[in-house]
Amino acid sequence: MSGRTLLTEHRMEPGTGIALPVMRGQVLRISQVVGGQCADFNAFNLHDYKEHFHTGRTRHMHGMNPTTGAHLWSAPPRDRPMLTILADTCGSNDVMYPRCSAMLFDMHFGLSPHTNCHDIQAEAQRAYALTPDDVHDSFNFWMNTGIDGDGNPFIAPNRSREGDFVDLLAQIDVLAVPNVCGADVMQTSNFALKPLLVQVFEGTEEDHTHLEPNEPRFPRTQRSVSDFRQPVIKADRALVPDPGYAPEFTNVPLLTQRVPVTLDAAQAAALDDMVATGLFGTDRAEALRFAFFAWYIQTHMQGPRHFRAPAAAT
Amino acid sequence: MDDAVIVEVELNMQQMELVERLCAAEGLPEPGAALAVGLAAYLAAQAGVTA
Repeated sequence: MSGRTLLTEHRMEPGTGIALPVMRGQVLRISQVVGGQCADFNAFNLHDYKEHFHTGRTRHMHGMNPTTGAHLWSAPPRDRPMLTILADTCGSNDVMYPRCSAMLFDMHFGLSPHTNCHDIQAEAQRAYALTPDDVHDSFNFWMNTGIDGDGNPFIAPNRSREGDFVDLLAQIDVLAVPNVCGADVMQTSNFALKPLLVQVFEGTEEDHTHLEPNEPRFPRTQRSVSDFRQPVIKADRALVPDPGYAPEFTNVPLLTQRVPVTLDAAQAAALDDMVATGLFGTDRAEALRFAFFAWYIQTHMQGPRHFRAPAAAT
Repeated sequence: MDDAVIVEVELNMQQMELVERLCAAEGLPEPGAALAVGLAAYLAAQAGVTA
C-alpha cells in the first residue's frame, strides 16, 4: 500500500455504482473482491462537468488496451490527463467498446428491464445532479477485448482474479464514477456479476512524483472555458440558431500556394507510377505532396503515431 | 539537370509552415528543395520496400 492513508471505502454490489470525488494527488483503487468482474468508469472535472473522460483520445494515446502508465484523457478541446494508471495487476482493460445499455439486452435477448452500465452510471451520477445524457463512453477496467484477423472487435473471457486492482492517480479534482458492469449474459464478466471494492487514498510523495504539472503542457491548444467563444452551458433542450453567430473557423480561409519542385526523369517516372495506382493523387504534383508528407510524418511527427507505411508505389 | 521536370505542388499555409520549418532546420534554400528531399527519401524507402 506504500503507506497511503485510506480516506473512503465502498463496496459496490452487482447492479450498482458510485460517484465519489477524488482530489488531485489522491489515489482511487478499484479491486476485485471475487474476480472476473468488469468495471465501467466515467470521470468528470469536479469543478466543470463539461470536461470529462474521453475514450477516443485515450485510445489514440495509449491504444485499445491501456494499462500502467497510461493517462485517462479528457475530451478535446481540454485534452489533458485527468487520471493516471499507477498500477494494474491484471492488465486487461478496454477503451474500444461502449458501455452496455438497456437497448442491447432487449435487442440481443428480449430482456427488459435488465442491469446495464449506462443506467447504472446514470443512477450513480444522479447523486451529483447529472442526467442520463451526461453519461459518456466508459473506460472498461478488466474488459478483455481484442481485434481478430478480419479486423472485427471481440470480447473474450474476463482474466481478472480475486485481489486484482487498479490504482488511479487523480491529476485534477475529479468526480470518479465506477460501476459494476451489468452484463451478466455476456463474457464481459464471465456470466456472473460480482462486487468490487472502491477505495480512495491520500497519495504519497512517491505517488505525487507522477503528477503532471498544473500548467498545461500545450497551453496554445489545451483550452479551457476562458478560451471559449461560447462559454455558457445551455440550460434549455431545444436547439435554435444564434442570431449573432458569425463563424470564426481556425485558419480559414486556408490559403494555398504553389511550390515549384525540380525533378529528374527517374523521379518523374516514379511519380507517374504512383499516379497510375490511383491511390496517391491524380497528377505528379499530388503524388509528390503525398510522398513528401508520408516521409515527413515518418521522420518528424511527435507522439504516438498511427499509420502504416504506404504500400510500394511501383 | 538533364531531363529536368518542374512540377508545382499546391500546399496550404499550414503545410507550408512545416515545410518552412524543415528548411530552417536543415538549411535548405527554399520550400521546393525541402519537398525534393522528402521525395527522394520517400522513393528510396519505397525502393527498399520493393527490393
